[in-house]
Amino acid sequence: MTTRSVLKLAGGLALALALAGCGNAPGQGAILGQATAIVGQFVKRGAGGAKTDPVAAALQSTTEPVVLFFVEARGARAPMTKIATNGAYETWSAKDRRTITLRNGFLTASRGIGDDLMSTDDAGTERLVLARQEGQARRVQRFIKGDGSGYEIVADCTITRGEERDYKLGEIETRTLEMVENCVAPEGKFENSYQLDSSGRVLSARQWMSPRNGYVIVSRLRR
Amino acid sequence: MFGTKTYTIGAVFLTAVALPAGIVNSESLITARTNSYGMPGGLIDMPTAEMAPDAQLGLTISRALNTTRTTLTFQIAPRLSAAFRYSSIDGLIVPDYDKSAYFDRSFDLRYQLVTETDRRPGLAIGLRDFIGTGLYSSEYLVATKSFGPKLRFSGGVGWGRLGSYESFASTGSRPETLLGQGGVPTYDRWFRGPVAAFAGVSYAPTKKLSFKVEYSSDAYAQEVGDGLFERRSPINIGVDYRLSKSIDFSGYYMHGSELGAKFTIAVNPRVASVPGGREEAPRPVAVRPAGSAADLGWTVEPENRTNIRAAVAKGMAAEGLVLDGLRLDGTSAEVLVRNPRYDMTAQAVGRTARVLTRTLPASVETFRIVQTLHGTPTGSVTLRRSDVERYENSAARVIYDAASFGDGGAPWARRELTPGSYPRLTWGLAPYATIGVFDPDDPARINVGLRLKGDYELAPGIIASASITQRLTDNPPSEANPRPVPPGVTPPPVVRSDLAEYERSGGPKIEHLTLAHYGRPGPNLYSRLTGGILEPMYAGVSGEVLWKRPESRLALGAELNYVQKRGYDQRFDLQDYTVVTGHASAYYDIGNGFHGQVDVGRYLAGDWGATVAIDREFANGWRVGAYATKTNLSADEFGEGSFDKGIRFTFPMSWGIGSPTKASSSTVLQSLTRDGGAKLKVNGRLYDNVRATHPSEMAKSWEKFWR
Repeated sequence: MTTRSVLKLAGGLALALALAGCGNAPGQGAILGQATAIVGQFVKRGAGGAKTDPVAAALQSTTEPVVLFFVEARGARAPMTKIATNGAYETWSAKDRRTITLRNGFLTASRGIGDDLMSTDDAGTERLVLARQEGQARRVQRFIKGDGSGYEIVADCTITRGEERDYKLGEIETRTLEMVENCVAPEGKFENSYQLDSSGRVLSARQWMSPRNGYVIVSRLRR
Repeated sequence: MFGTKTYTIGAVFLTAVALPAGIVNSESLITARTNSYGMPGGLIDMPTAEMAPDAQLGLTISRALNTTRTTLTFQIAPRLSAAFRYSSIDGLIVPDYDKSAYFDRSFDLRYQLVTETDRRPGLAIGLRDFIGTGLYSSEYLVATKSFGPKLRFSGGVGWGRLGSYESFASTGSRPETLLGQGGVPTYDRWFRGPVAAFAGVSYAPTKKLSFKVEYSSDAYAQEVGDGLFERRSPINIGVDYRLSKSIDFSGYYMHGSELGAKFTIAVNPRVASVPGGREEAPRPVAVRPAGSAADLGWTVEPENRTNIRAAVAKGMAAEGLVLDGLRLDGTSAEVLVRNPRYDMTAQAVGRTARVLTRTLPASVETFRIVQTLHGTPTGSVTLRRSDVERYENSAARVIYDAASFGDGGAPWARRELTPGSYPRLTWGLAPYATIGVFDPDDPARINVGLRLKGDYELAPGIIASASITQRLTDNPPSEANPRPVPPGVTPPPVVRSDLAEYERSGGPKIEHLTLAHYGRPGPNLYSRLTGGILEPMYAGVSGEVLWKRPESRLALGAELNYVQKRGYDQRFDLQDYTVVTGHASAYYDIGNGFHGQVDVGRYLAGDWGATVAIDREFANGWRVGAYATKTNLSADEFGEGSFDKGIRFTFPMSWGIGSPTKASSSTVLQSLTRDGGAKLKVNGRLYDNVRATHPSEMAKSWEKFWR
């Protein structure tokens, strides 16, 4: 390739990339947008942790109940407020349209987190934990696979009573009883734990959410 | 004599490649490693009974002994692997061949007859280079046994090339002549001729590293005879290093005399960078207060309907959907939805249902959601609002069972549509790249350019569409070799084989410029009429009719076209050649992810025949498939290859970026560009668009309904 043709190509490519977002078709800039979003994530990670405390900011910005959603493996945390109720299910949302669904403090679904928990059957576990009873229960968690189809992880769980602990988070400071749920599924084992306050409500739940997310903690900051 | 591949430039393409964890599984002989022929296996030239992870698609480039092999492999099913390979051998002396390197295409198949257990080895049967000129033609039976997760032994017997060194027996004689003009499965050779034994060991001390030694039964007779290298020993040794989940390098020392290297990159449609997607959460379902459904007071004021329509439209726009029409009465609503965003249509329906719960008055209990194709109704989904409220947090299957699916019905009257829906213009300007492969003079000819395209929907079902390209680089294809014609044979008219002439010219080119009408002639019937410049090489008129019942796996269609060949500059000139082509088609969703299609009719060269295609499809939009066309042209008339065949795959952009989008990239790798069995290309054919809105197709990705 001659110098002139190389320059022509380089100039054309630069123009092409600059125009790559041009047009009014939906999703026109989607690919480029995703590229910049991914680059942005990498850049943010390298730049170090955030300096402002999002938890304090969230507690100040509203008087409504607030929940903190924390993904252990990534160290990522997001405060969430309740945006909808459907029967016993509550949907809580972070600022950027990522949501989780809780029932009685148990995590049953997530949306927009990535490798989302689509739905959960945990009625047996809930009944035992809320009654502070030991026993056996079956837990089903559903996800979407890489090829677009759904699959479920079915686990046999043993619920046992744990110790009493101090709970101090956000605006809540109290004594809680821990209930532990030990689950065994063909794919592996995991252990969930729940902190109940004196009136039998789950203040904090540490649960295994999904293969790519691992353990998450959902804790009340304000009742 | 080459195929072309097109994709759009996207930096995120590279983030999409991924492999499942657990590369080496001693129980089931699965491996992500490949040999120098690109087929799954931990050895070098010799095959094993190993298989790649199901649905794995890999590209392997190996170079050794003056031979470069570029192989595309697909694990069609857990026990069936296939490969398509393009090899070039420098310095090989072949009669009637004047280039310095000999180019050869080959296809492989391997089937695992018996899986490995604790007591017995796995056993596989394979055909290497079983179609075509047969430079690598071999067949084999091989057994592989693993000892723990790190060590695998393989041993087998081979025929053909794999039976050429130190054969110990012979099963009949092996013919050498080509069948037809090549391109036909060489069934008269299979498992005939001298048979020899081969063996090998692979040892993987760590997840990244693997060593291998093999005893090769390939004498490389022709290469050695032409002085390409010296075969001092039948032993080959190699080492393999896994750089990442999808990239792998190998180094070899072959036959005691030469070094070799190999690079593999793999992708698996079943493994996504973000399984389920990372798109934002949908709006939650709004549950009606108890007893509110009885209140029909809102129906009295007409302006309520206008406000409701505006609220629904706004809610849907926030989800990337467009409200084309709304029919509302006291207790039911029918919604005409345009979906520019979600490739998995179940997600479009689910999000629409959520919006309706948030915007429609409480008395509306029945939702009928009708999807559209350019404004024309296609499939409908009917849901009870109470079910949407009740099952928001249940498994997706529950709402599927509660839904009814049907035909969206006749087109709506203009007055029922959302004001301002039409006319509607969408346009885009984006870069593109094309790669021309299999050109002997230029292994990967890359060109880059800009594409301006637009769709102008004048009225429901009527759409004008244009696409214009301007190439920025200047890598024209080489001069095509005139094909040799046997005496007494009339070749077919040149309808596709002058592709190079179309690519050679510079300046702006019109890819297509059409006006199309989509209609609903009757229940379960769909129609399309397209006129104008239909594709890069042809202009004319194309009409199509499709019959498909929503609940049916079978669809029948017919297409009739009258076209004229375009001038080489791809602007408005036309050449003299005109032809009437058409097909009757049957489409069948076979199940288990497989889909088949048969077309019978007349092709561009005026030849009559049939095409059979089979594809493996995934819920995420990935498709990998193959097709073959046989027409009434004889092998001599068709030319080299005897009949048209190829491999095609579709890569959905949403799988790569983890967010819904309808963009996808489709590629067809034809073994040769010939004039027999050539079909017209037209955009907007009915079947794929219609079936995406029908229940059996929607069921495959129904998990996305509540997403």
